[in-house]
Amino acid sequence: MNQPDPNRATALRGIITDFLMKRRDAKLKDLAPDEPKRAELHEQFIPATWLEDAARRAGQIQAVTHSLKPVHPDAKGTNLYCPPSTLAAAEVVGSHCLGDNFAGDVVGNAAALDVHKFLKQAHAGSSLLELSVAADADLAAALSDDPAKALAWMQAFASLTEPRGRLTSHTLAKQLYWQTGDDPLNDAGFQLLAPLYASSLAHRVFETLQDDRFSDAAKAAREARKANTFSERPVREYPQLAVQQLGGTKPQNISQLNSERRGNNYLLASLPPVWRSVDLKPLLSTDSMFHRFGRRPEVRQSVKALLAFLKSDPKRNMDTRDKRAAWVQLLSDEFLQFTAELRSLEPGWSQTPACQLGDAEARWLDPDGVATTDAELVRPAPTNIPERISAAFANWLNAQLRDPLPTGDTEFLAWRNAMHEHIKTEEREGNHVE
Amino acid sequence: MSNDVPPNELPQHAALLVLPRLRVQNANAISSPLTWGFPSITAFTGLMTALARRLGAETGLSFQSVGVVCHGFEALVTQGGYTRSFCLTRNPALHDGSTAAIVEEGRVHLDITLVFEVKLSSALLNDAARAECAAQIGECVAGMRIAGGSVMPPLPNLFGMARQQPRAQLVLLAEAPDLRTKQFKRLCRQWLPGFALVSRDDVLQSRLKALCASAPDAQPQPSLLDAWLDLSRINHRATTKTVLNETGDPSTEVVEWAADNRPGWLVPIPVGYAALSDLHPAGAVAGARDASVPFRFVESVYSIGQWISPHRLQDITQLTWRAEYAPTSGLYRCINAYQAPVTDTYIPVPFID
Amino acid sequence: MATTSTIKTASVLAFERKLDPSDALFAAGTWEQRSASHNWPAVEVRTKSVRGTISNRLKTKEQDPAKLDAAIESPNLQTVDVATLPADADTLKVSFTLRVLGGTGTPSACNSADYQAKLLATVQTYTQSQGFGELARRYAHNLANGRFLWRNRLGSEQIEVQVAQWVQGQAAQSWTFDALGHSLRDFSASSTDLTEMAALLERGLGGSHHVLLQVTAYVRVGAGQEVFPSQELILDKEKAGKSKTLYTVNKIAAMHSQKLGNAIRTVDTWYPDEDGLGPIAVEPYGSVTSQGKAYRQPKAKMDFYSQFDAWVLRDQVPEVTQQHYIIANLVRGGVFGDSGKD
Repeated sequence: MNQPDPNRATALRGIITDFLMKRRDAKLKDLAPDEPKRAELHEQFIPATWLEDAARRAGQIQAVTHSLKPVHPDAKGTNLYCPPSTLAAAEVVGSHCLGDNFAGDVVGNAAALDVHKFLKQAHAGSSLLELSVAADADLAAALSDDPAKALAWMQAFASLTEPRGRLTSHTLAKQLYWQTGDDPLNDAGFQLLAPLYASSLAHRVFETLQDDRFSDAAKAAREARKANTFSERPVREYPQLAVQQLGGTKPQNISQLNSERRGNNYLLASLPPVWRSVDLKPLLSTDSMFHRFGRRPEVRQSVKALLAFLKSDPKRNMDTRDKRAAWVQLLSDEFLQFTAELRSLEPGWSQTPACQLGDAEARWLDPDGVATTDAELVRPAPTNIPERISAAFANWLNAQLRDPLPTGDTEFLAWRNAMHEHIKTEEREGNHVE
Repeated sequence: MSNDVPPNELPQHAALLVLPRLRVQNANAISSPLTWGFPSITAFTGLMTALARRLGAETGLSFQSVGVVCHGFEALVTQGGYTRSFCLTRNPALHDGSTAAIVEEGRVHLDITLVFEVKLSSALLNDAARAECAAQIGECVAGMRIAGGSVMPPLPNLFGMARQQPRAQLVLLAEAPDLRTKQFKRLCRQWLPGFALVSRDDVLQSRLKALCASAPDAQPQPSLLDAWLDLSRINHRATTKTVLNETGDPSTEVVEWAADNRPGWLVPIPVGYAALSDLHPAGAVAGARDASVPFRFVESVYSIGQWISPHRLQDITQLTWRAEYAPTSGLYRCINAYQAPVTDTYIPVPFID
Repeated sequence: MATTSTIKTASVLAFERKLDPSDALFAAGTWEQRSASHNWPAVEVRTKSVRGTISNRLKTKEQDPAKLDAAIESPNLQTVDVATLPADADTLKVSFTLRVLGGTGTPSACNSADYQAKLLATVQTYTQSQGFGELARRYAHNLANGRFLWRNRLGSEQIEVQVAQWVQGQAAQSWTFDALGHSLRDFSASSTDLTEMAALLERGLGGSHHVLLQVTAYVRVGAGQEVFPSQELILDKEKAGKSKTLYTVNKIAAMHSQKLGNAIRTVDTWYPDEDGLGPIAVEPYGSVTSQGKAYRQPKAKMDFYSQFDAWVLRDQVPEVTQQHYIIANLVRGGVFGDSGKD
């Protein structure tokens, strides 16, 4: 124990009585002056009485960083208090990234949450909880004149971060086998992993996203962007962000922080870029495949980025050429994806009257469909389709860049050759095995 | 072990097991407490283990790693507004007739190709034996759960016409590296249109470096979490440029807003778990689903992944993932060896904040 | 046999469902063209605006000086999803696949080896004395009678159900049923087709190889009529932008697999049927969501848990009908662990 400091003890006592008086007065405010309950309340908030009760009720709640109920609201089992500094630093993102300034959570009986609020009260940067854990002599003096009683209370408060009961998982908790040995057939080569919900980490993510979405500074940045004026703060968008509800209509049953978030849990999107795969349709009523190709979000984004890069008039060096080549590569990748998507349709769609594509594009996108027609008409298939498609791609890309860049024959040749090379490589690699 | 199994020959011939175009209905779309959209890669390494155990030693096949290519994707979510929410299922009423609590379980229908790196025993060098084995595995997987979803026959096309399930393939890999590359490239073409999920741990680290470099005095220093979130969003930044006006004086300030360059489809993904507790001995934790296996409380850990076109992949190791365990750090994570080509390297942008 | 007194229900205990339907997809055509139904176009879902119910209170009064009726200014317009057959199609086609998996009674998770051994022994007494015949017969009925069509079955003129067993992407055998000729109230119909199909389901449930069925129902409802895909459960209707969202797969109107599974396992006639409901879906408490009521009360020891525990733990063999019910719950699947007793 530290050296007793009467002034510090007095300050701590002040914090305690302040906290209790404020809570008492808030409750008294709603009661009529002649309400008999008033006397009861006065009684309840006498420090010795309240603290005795609080020490008892501390057992009904637990301070945690990782909780079970978000996994399933009916699951019962161990929750853990693992401050970030105690976790192994890894080269992956996890609670260890949070540093010392993290939000602790509380689980258990919601009626005992006031005990946690009480223990969050701080003096000189140390919370009453931390002081309890440290068995601080001044806090003891502040709590009670009876040292034994004070010590017992502090122990009760300090136990707030300790797991309750024996270690337990649950039939509704997530539990998965992880193979740690070499042989999957050897039962001894496995461990069971039970993931808990990283409450403090989720809270930091939630606060960051709330700030990016709803804070005044974020709103000002969005206004600036709309008006095309300068803003130091960027505008941050989280595409396809999902909101999951934890705890349904009773988020407080999950945890204190969950209640503060009204049960909203943000989920960042890992979606593959095939969001629109349900929209795959034959290319009808258009004379060029590039209209649809150019509308693909990845294509639009890449063209825009390539244009912005070239417009910035970058230095003519290796680095610039590499970057430009990378963008063009992305576009030609996307073109081959686009091609493969259309080739997955039932063959023959290009041979319907509604299809207005030219011969080369129809052959490129619906090779089997056109081959059937070729066979019926006993007509030979041309062999220069890759060349014609590469040229069409080059024309299209030039057109995208032409406003405002003065693209011309040189660029046409560069794009065409790059695409032709790409197709040839694909075909070579595809056709010469087995 | 029964007597008719040939004397312990370890499978040693490199091959690929391809399960093409699996339709998975109602797979788990919530992959971790912080991510949604596609099942966690750990669900696929878990499937690989479950499959190996179902097949047993007699099959003559040992699994090394697993890759996933996504062809189609339909999440059961609402489309309107700025955020998505999940379409739910009504659970049966409780015994008092009251409505059961709704637990949000995001669901997604997937069309995926799974590619396993495997080793074969000599018995499977025979083409017919290999075809037979592949068919058996295809049948086995059809009765399994993948990421919590059911394997279904392919969706009929728009006209309701039933489509044939493409056959499972067991492809023996050539010895010569150049032939092997060609084989792999040929397979990759069959996986178009589609996107493979690969790891971009490198981007996460380089973004952290960039953040730290742009804010050398920040307290606290930017963390991996900051870098991860930065890569999970679209950052639109304003820049000003001074342009010459007609008289040639540099006097007009022009503001330009542009989104960060994102060459490639980068996404935040869970990659495994990190220990929160000691490894408890088997049977020490009540309510464990298996009392004969050591038990540990863990949390999900995250990195950055990229969805890339399969024909960008150079070899099989760039596609597949394996589960690893580091006893000293208590890290359980999935590893993938993708390496971005030099021209593809992420172009760092200055961090303004 | 192990002494029963020491065995407790495993605290972790889960079973996977053994009847695993796909979602059902909707297509439209004409009754006469059933044999060419592979060419039928899909039924799509469209949105329409409807005027919601507005109070007519002010109709009798010309004026509303206090502006009591907000509805006058902003009529209660709602957007809802709707699916109908085209004007030239009188028949709805509903198709799905059903996978029947073996291994009923083998848990997917169980943390007590003693319990699992006892459980398997108990299930084995059932498979040996009863087999899956009775359950298979009832499941087969629910395919033949088109119960899985739910509301689409009401008011239809004719319904034909075709069931085919698929082996390696080919129909190995198939059966055709007149659904309206099969009652929803009992399982007494019998025909060669029904018996054959039931026998196949029985093999699937009891065997080591799963069975795959393709189920196709043709429902003659009349040209241009409304049809009924599943409705999505969306809590935040405002965000969805409409008050009713219908389920689609690949933009095709569809029914949830859960809804099909519920219809197929509507085989429980062994509960105290005080309301004359007829068969209800197999659920641990015999709950019927539409009635907001559970018909198998723990108080009466008629629920799954009471009877299952009595059977497995205490060798109190239930009546044969309740044995069917208990095993049907294992076919249904679920998390049945008893964490209170760990």
